[in-house]
This record gives sequence, structure tokens and C-alpha cells, in this order.
Amino acid sequence: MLSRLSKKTKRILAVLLILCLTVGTGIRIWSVYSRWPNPPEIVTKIAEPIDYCGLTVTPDKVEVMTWEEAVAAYPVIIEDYPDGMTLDEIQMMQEYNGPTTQIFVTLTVINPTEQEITLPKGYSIAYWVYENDFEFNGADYITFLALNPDYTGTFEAGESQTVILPFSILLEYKSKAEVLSAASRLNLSYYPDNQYILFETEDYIHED
Amino acid sequence: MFRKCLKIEFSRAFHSLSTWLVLLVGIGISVFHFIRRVIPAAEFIIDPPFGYPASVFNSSLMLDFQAAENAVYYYVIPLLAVLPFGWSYISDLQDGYFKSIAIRTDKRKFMLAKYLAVFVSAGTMCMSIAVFDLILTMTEVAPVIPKAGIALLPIFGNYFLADVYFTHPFLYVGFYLLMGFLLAGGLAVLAIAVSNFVTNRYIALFFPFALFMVLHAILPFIGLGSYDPFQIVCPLQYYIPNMWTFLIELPVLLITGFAVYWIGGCRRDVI
Repeated sequence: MLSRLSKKTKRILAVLLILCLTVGTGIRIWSVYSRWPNPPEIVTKIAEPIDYCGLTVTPDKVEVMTWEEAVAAYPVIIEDYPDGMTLDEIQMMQEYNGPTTQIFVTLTVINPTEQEITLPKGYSIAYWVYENDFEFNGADYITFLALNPDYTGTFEAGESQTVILPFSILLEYKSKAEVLSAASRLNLSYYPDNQYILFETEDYIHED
Repeated sequence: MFRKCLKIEFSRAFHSLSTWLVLLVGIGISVFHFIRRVIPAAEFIIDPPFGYPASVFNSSLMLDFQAAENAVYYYVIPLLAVLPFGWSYISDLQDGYFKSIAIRTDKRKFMLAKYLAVFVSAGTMCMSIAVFDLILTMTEVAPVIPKAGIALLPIFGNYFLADVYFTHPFLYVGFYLLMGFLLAGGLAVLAIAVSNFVTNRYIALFFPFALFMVLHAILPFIGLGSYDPFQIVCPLQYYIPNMWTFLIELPVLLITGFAVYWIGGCRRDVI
């Protein structure tokens, strides 16, 4: 049947077919994009309170240190390791790959309600992810427990707790100076919205 | 006359059976990847707050770091690049087509037209597969912007052009499409350059593939993995390339291929 059609008709049919395919694909792509759009960013800055699962969380300070400075500032982070281990060995055990730059974020968490709040599964503050200029890491859980022995994820009515989140980035990727020279984010969520605390370079507390 | 040569050579390049074969093979790889990897990824239920939907930038053939199809596609690029029209020069030399053209017109015009047709057809065919796959993937998975901390991505913060990947991912994809176009074109030209010195067409056809694989095997072994030509074309960066990989290696390939082809062709006696 197709062979009976003139060349012009065939060409028109081909153009129509391509047009239909293009429009159909376009509509499909648009509907997929509408279902999974880019997450809107919700940005807060240091000292600004955030509502997190009913709790009021205020980021108080962010400290950037070398491993040696971190041990001096928070000696508790090496207390649970066996006696006789050197600082280098502990650091290697912590991060597996090599020396690190340490970042500590101090938060004040208040339960402003009159009832106990337990953070739902997957929403623990210990799961927050630190990003510095596309280098990232989650909190080291052993160090987190050493720094926050009272943290259970449950907050009594009116209770106020100080929580310190410890992060490390391999020195090979970022030295202390490099961390200090870039803004960083502490991500509370990625999807359906990307909520994070933004630390500008002037927010960092550090010793030189 | 040059325009006429160009028109004929482009028409021969884009209407050859092998060109359609390349497209068919490429689309086959893409569709297989789509069924095996993209559809399941699109159906994966995300778990807030740290779950993240599958994105084109970690699910498409170019950027799916867990898919064997990705490796297959990039490993066969040197073959796919040569197949559309890379065989034509040695064929023209052997069946007398080159001679009959060269005695009627300036052979350099014909050679330039041949060079452009080989280069453009190879680059277009190889990269149109990746573009087709991107569009196909977008019909199931959205182009959600990648976030560094979700850790399900092929690119990390210390990778080449990581900042572009995390801020303008389409630009990152576009850069590698362009590099792929140039490399595929360069490899196809290498085949026609070698055609000046060999009589067996299979040697000419397989030379770029063999060179690519030898470099891919040896360079990482001697600690020069970032100069592996595979890193020019593949956006996954198995060995992190640097600016010099693109600024030196690619022009060396393009210039050498063209020079050998041109000098060899110009010295060839036609009468």
C-alpha cells in the first residue's frame, strides 16, 4: 500500500510520524519530571533555629581542626580505644584510609512541647550529612557516641541537649586550610526537599 | 568540485549499510540497558529524608557506573567509530575509485571531503547512541540534579569537573559527548591513515580498536591511568583524568591521524 503513495505523501507521513514521536516523548519526559522535580532548597544559617520533627535545633558553632587538635579539644574521642594505640592508629581505624581533617558541629536541641518526642526511624540527628565543596561524610558513629553519651534520640518535654556532630574528611581530599576556604553544608534531608544549614567561611572556628 | 565531493562522501557515509548496523547495535545496547537497569531504578521507592530518586545523571548509559552495558558501549566505540565509513578509504584505494576521482579532479579536495565525512560520520554515529539513550532514560527517570552527599553517584568531589557535574550536569554530559565525538572521529581517521600503508582492510579496521585497548591496558599499569584514552570518552572517570589528558592527548591523536592520512594520500601515485 505504501508503494502506491506518492513521494510527497510519504514525506508528509514521515514528518507527521516524527512530529508525533517528538511530542509524545516530550509529554512523557515532562510528566516524569513533574513527578520527580528537583528538590527545593531550604537554607538556614548558623544560630538560626530550625524546626526538626517538632524539636527546635540551633546550630551554635562549627569547628575545623587537624586530628591532633581534635584530640586535644575533645580527648573523650579516643578514650574508648585500647590502651597503647597511637593517635595515628586510632585515626586509621576511624577512617580506614588515612589522616583526616576533623569538623565538629555543636547544636542545641530543645523540645519546646509538653510531651516527649522520639525521632522517627531514619531521622536521627546522627544521620545528617556534612558536605564541603562536594566532599562529604556522615558522622562517625563511635565518635558521636563518645561525644554524646546521653543521646538516645528521645527528648523529654522541655529538655535541652547539646549535641556535637563529628565529621571527618580525608586529608588527601581536603586539608584543614582547604576546608576553611570553602562554604559547607550540613544536610538534614535530601528529598523531597533539600534542607541544610549553610556555614560560610567566616562561621568556622579554628586555631592557626 | 569540493562541495560536490563533500556531498557524495557524506551521502556514502550516512547511507551505508554499516552505518545502520552501528546504529542498530548501539540502540540494542541502549534498549537492553533501559530494560535491565533504568526501568527497575525508576520503580525504586525512595525513603525520605536521605533517599534520593534515580536521576538521569546516574542511570543513563553514559553515567550508570554499575552497568556492564556502560563498559560494553565505551569499549566498542573504537569499532563503532570505524564501521560507518572508516573502511571506505582502503576500499576506494583497492577498487580504483580513488584513482578515477584523482585523475578527474584535485585529489586533495577529494581527500579533504573524505576526511570530513569519515570524521563526522564516526562522531555522529557513536554519540547519537548516547543521546538516544539519554532521551530514552528521561522517559522513565527525571533529570534530578545530583547532590554530592547521597553517595549513589558515579562522580565524587575530587573528580575532574566535579563542580560542573554537581551544578550543571547537562553541561558535564555535553562536554563528554563532545569529547566522545572528537575521539570517535579521531579513531576513524586513524583507520584511514593506516589504510595508506596496509593492503588488508581488516588491519585498517581493527587498528584503532587495538591501539585503544593496548593503551587502555598499558597506561594504568605503568601509573599513567589518567592518560588512558578511555578516560577521554567515558564520563565515569575510572582513573581521574586531568586537563592535559584532553589538551594534549586528543589534539595529538587528531593531528597525527590527519597528518599521516594527508601525507600518505598526497604521496600516493595515481597514474
